[in-house]
Amino acid sequence: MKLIYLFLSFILISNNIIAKEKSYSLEVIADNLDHPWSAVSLPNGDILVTELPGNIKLIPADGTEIISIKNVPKVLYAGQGGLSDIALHPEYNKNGWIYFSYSYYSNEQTKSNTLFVDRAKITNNSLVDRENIFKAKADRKPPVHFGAKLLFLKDHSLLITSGDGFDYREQAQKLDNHFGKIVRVLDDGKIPQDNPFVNTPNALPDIWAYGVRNPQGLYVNKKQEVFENEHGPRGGDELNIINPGLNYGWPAITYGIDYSGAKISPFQEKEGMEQPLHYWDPSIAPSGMTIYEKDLFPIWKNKVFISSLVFSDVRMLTLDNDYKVIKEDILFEEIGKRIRNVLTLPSGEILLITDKKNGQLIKVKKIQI
Amino acid sequence: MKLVRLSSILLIASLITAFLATPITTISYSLWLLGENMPMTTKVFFDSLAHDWLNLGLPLFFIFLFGFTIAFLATGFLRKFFNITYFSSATSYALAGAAAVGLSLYLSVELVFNIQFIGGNRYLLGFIGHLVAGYLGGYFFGSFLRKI
Repeated sequence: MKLIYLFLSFILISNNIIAKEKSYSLEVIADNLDHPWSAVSLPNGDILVTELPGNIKLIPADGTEIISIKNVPKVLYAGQGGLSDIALHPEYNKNGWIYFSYSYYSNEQTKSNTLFVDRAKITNNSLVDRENIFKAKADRKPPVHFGAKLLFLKDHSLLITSGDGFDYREQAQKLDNHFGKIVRVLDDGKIPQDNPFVNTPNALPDIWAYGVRNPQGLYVNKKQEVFENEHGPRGGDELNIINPGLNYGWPAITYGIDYSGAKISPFQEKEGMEQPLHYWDPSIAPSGMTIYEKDLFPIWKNKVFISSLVFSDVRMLTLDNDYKVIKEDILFEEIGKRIRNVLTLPSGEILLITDKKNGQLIKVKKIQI
Repeated sequence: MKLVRLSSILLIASLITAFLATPITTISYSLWLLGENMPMTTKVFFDSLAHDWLNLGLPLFFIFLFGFTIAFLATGFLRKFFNITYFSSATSYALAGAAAVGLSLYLSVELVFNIQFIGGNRYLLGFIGHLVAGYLGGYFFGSFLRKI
């Protein structure tokens, strides 16, 4: 009996290993990129990639040579700053608008810098009709913790994450600035009148949620739930569901401590402050995020994919009906590089972006058995 | 034997400075939390302080040890070869200690994206507090140096 049990276990384990090993293959579709940060797929299958030093590259779907988009605005490429996220307007096919976030000086003399979001169109491989639609009221000296993620909602309003600037973290609890905030603007930068703090005295009307640290992942699922992940302090990286008007607690409540070792707050919860769905201790340095809602990889359906900079892998989270994380799997560790971003392509394939110099775009393709 | 004694007072001076400097960060965080109506009781404060002494105190100790080693060697050199007697030994080393702490904090900011890793150093009062801690550590070193 024992032998039969062992034999059956062996068969099951072997099948699992084979399924895991053969369910996908990795294809490098672009390399030698300079600190790639984000990407977006165009309707024709081409991919636009941002590079932190201030470049936008077009990766043609037909595998021909990479094209550098001209006329990209000058960015502050220092610390964690530079050209960051990129997004297409939901009606890109009609209007051609692309949106991108970057850091630049708010005052060149004092070297204060902040987060900007512009939109532009691409004509003849050059940005044209560029307009600034958002400039964060979050002037800082250290060029760090910008957030800088962009996400369009179903109503065509745009969510922008604005990090706490590290040295200014207490400002995340105040509503008169953009440190540690999630901002919502219309596609032209105007303020939506249904924003939660539009009628709050002394509050910036574009604030949608507050009390976040350095949000690096933002995704809206088919149910229009907005998932956010953020770099926390040591042992305090978080996954949240963001709802308008809510306070996510940073830095009054946190599960982490300062990287210096100091206790930022002895409190982990307080009424009126939201709890994360999940936090990581040790920190994984979460970067990009996608929720797999396509059909190409049925076993990954509805799983939350979060790329990790520290561990150079992707965390695949399984959530139960109450949004509790019940399982965390590790994927793509065979790449062995810091993964800056993870996206679902319209084809159902997954796109991974590796960090630093010689960054790569890696397509996760289905192996047909 | 003299070297062992010298090393011991250097270690103790660094320890004193780290011990005195750590609460600056704890106090600055706690005051902000109080201002945010967080339930900061005396017990919670001392729990945080104990945590910080163990966790922040240790890196501070090594930073100050490194800074003091250079600063005290330089001070000893200057006093010996240039016969500087304007300040007493204790005061000379106290000033060197304060300067070492100030420079360490300055460099810790300049070398890492201009970030203030030591939270208590974000405010002028906190910075001055760190200098005082460095001064007292140096004073201890200078006072005991004469007895070696």
